[in-house]
Amino acid sequence: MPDANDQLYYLTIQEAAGKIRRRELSPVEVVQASLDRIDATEDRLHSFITTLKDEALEQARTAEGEISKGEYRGPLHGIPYGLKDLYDTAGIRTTAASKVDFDRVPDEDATVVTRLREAGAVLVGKLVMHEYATGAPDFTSPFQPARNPWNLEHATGGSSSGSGSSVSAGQVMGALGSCTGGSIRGPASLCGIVGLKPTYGRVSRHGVVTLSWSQDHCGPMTRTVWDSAAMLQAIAGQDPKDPTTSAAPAPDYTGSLGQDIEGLRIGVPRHYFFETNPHVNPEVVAVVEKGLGALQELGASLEEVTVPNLELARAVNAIIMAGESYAFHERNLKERPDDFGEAVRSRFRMGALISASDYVQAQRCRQLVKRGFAEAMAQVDLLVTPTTAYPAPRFENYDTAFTLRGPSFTAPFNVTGLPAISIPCGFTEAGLPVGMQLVGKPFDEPTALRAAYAYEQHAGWSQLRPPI
Amino acid sequence: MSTTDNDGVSSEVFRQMAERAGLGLTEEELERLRPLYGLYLEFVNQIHSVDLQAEEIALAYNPEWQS
Repeated sequence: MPDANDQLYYLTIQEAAGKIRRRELSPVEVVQASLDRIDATEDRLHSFITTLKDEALEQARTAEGEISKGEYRGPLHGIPYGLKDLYDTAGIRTTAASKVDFDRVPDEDATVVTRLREAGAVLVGKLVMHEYATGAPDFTSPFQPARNPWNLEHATGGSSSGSGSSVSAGQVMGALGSCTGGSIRGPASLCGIVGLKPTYGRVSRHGVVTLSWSQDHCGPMTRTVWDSAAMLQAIAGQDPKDPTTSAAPAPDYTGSLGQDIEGLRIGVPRHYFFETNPHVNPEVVAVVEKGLGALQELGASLEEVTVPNLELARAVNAIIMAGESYAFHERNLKERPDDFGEAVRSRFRMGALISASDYVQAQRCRQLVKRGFAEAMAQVDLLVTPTTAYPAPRFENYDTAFTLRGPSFTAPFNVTGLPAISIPCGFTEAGLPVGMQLVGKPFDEPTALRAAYAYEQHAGWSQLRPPI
Repeated sequence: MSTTDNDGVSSEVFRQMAERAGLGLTEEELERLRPLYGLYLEFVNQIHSVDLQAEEIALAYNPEWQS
């Protein structure tokens, strides 16, 4: 694994922003480096559905002009980023990686896209994803699956697959993913980057193609914790167009980074997330155990906790997702079923076969799961778990049904809406990244970010680069 | 012919369910979908086995005009 280098495309947002603010670096240079990196690697990675070379360079020149006049907007000004291709972009095709929406061009930007533009971020392209944010890598799709920069024969995880590969490989400095059962944290973990799923209601979902209204979340994927905090800062906050967003003001997310974690109380729910069974890779557990040890060295205390009713979370997530996704896609499923990939079509059709009472019971069980976490977290500040039960699988070993059969370490936090961040925590013997998940209390992203940042600075995994 | 196996529901019952849902599936599609339904049926059975007593649903209707 090569060490960090000073190539422009591998600068973090924090590093690039400092140089741009001090006028040591032009946004045009930074964006050009990103576009060159895409040119050099995209034939192997397949991260993008649409690249926006001319538009990005024009935005970069605008940013350069503004900054030269002293109109610096903040840390995202002039920073190249990508969007999972389910965020609406006015005048730019938004496919959700489906033939159904192959030619769809929205009239309006998603709220978070508007906010990133206002922050001065430069959109360089729309990223590959699993069709409609579910399913699996599909080689029959018109959009080839993204490949893992740490080993091109392995998948990135999903559904924000191109977001994971592009950030990991230095094609962009940050990206937005979306997450209904783990689609931000999963690919972040498998691609060796940071992925943050904020609290439900913290970030607007307006203009983002729906999978499951009550479980969808939007959030950043970056190479460092600071960068995710900066992107969250730009997109967080109430949106009149999304009634589920909270009126509570967003705190200063980067401000608390760097404070120590002495005395932080960390809960470890070993009964579910660290169990050894055929579905959980022991190497992953061992790597995360070392991560826990490091947090302890940094001054945190570890306490084993039990989360009542946690075993229901997987079923609750799946049933609610089935019902809500079918409701959203019903018309197209009936009128043009062949335009869906087979795996996605099958998943969505499950929603027609569950009953209204199944859905309601799942929503009632959701309350039990939520209360279980509240009870488990009453005496601790955070929970820490592995992000996924396994490292990145080879494409030929990808088992779509496994995503339903095996445990999900991420879905409980889509069910409960709790904020959760995945950070790089080490590697398997085969050189595949492993992620550690830190889970906060509702709207307490700052504590999760603070602990994640402390660990990141201590461990140094974010300095390593994939061999591409 | 109706068969019941590890997929949790007989092919005849599954066909009737799919027809009632208006899915309009071919025999081949039905047989391909039935094992997946077996997985979901495990989830459904799990949540129906819980004694929920007076538990409310997680989502609440909001009567505000702006909602």
